[in-house]
Amino acid sequence: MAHHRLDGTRIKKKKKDTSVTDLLGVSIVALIAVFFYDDKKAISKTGGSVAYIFFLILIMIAAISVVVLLMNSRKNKLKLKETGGISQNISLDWGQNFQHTLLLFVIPIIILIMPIFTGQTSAFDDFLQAILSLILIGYLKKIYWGKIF
Amino acid sequence: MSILSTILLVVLIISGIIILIKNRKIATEAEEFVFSTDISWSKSLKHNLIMFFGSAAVLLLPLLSAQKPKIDDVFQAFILFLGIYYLKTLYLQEK
Repeated sequence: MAHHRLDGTRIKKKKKDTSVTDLLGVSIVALIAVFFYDDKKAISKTGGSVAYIFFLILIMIAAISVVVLLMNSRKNKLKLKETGGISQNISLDWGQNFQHTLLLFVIPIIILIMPIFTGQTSAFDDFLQAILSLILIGYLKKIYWGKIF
Repeated sequence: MSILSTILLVVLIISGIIILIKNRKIATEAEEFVFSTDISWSKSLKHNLIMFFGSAAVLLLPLLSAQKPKIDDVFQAFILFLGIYYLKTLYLQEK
């Protein structure tokens, strides 16, 4: 048998308990769907409330991830103190620079074009969102490369 | 589309093409284009913070003009998140 070692002992398979998380995810989606089901409402309104739920979930994820990050950072600091090492040296080549510069321009362009695909009129918000994403990705480029262009 | 968005779109496309061509010229003229840098813990944390709070801020912006976030705002935030996540896989590869 493939599941036995040479000395006859059984190899334990790594058990992943994905079934619980799957059940939880499906039940949450079902709960949201039941909660927002209303046949008198127009479809656009339902879409809006789904977007609102996504927005709330994203805020929750952001809050949880900040807590996890802070906990991780404390652990990392302790590890750095123990080893005395500070950082890791990496060498970057031209391809990475090209990809970062490409994303720097492509993502604001997609953000500006997006309302055309969803059939909504572009507002002043989209302009602000595009500027914000340009600033954020430019700041990341400054972190890694020391300059934006 | 409003006038501001159109102007920004045109400026982005033209300047993007010019800068990409310029970067490519610099890279092909130099023999070896290698840049070495230190990746510390603080850079990784900054990257993570920008990844999560940047996309949250994109979703929050419509609230300033007293509008509910619409479905296209969700897509926009998702695209920004994916882009920054891709940058993270580009720079911070786990060994």
